[in-house]
Amino acid sequence: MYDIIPIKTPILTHHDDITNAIVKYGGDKITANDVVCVAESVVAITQGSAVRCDYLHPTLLAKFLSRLFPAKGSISSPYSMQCLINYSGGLRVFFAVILGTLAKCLGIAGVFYRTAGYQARLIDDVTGTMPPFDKHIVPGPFDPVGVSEKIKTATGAFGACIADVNDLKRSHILGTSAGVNAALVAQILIDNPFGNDSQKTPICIIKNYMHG
Amino acid sequence: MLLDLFFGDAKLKLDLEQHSPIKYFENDTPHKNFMQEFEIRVPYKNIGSQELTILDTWARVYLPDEQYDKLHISARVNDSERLRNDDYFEAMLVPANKGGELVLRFTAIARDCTTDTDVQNLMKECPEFDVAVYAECRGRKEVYIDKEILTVKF
Repeated sequence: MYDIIPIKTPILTHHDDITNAIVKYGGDKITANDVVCVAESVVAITQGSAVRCDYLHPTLLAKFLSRLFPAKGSISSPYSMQCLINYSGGLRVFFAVILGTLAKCLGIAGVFYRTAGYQARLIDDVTGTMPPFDKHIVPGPFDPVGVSEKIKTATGAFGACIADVNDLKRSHILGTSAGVNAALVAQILIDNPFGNDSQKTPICIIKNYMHG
Repeated sequence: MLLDLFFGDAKLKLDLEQHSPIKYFENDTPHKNFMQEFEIRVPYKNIGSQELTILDTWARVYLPDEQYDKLHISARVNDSERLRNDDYFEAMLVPANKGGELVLRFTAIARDCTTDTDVQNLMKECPEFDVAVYAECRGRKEVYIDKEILTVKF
């Protein structure tokens, strides 16, 4: 059983540096035996990746492809689809849709998300994040492994990771610093210690990870 | 687009004819002679066949000085399930054929504040005025702005 401490911060924006924020708000609670976990959407926001629909201009391809996905999906709007196309390229997304459709006909799920690029399963559409980012499309963070290593060095923790966790018992680790077992951390975070408002507690510390 | 013919899209309908009567709020502050808050609720529904996203809503009060210069009236808009104290609207999803209520919260402030000022009297003298209610919406296509006019009579 692991002790998990959520760390409250103000709303972090692209004006903040995630590493400095962790040191500032949680630094005194972190020891050399702990693993620092950070919510992926907040890392992406501090990297300046969150974008309003106003700044995305959906192409015909984005408008067409987005209609092929069920409304509940994050890339079912022309804006989030355009965001994915901007990252992965139109051709790649187009062929991923074809491959995904063919694979689905053969009973194989998830092929689109495996072939359309890193951002395909990470993009959050509007309303997916708390205010003031509820009107933004938030893609996944860049270089989660590099960010984790930076956090580890800055805090003196045993390790760090960037996590995508929700209340539906979905826990996915995007990147860790060396020595951190991603599968184990995903299991530890399965009950979403970040809470629904992950921007208010975007950081969690797994205490005594080494001895847990 | 052909896909629209098959799957349709989302569409917001504000039912202005079914709006609530004006509800006035108690004001126990020292400003009670100068300021009065009130609200009107307007039902809405997504009458389309796809999920609707309301990104933002806001209201513009059409009461210029030329018509009545004794009151300044402003309004903010929220969903009844997400009432807030600030002037922010949380983006929200509305499933097909579902709806709710928009709450228009008005603040009337007397322009000249003297010992004789009585904001309630000024409101009684105020002519009826229009309020434009805007909603920034998105279905499965591009973002659009819906604008409806509500007439307010004290």
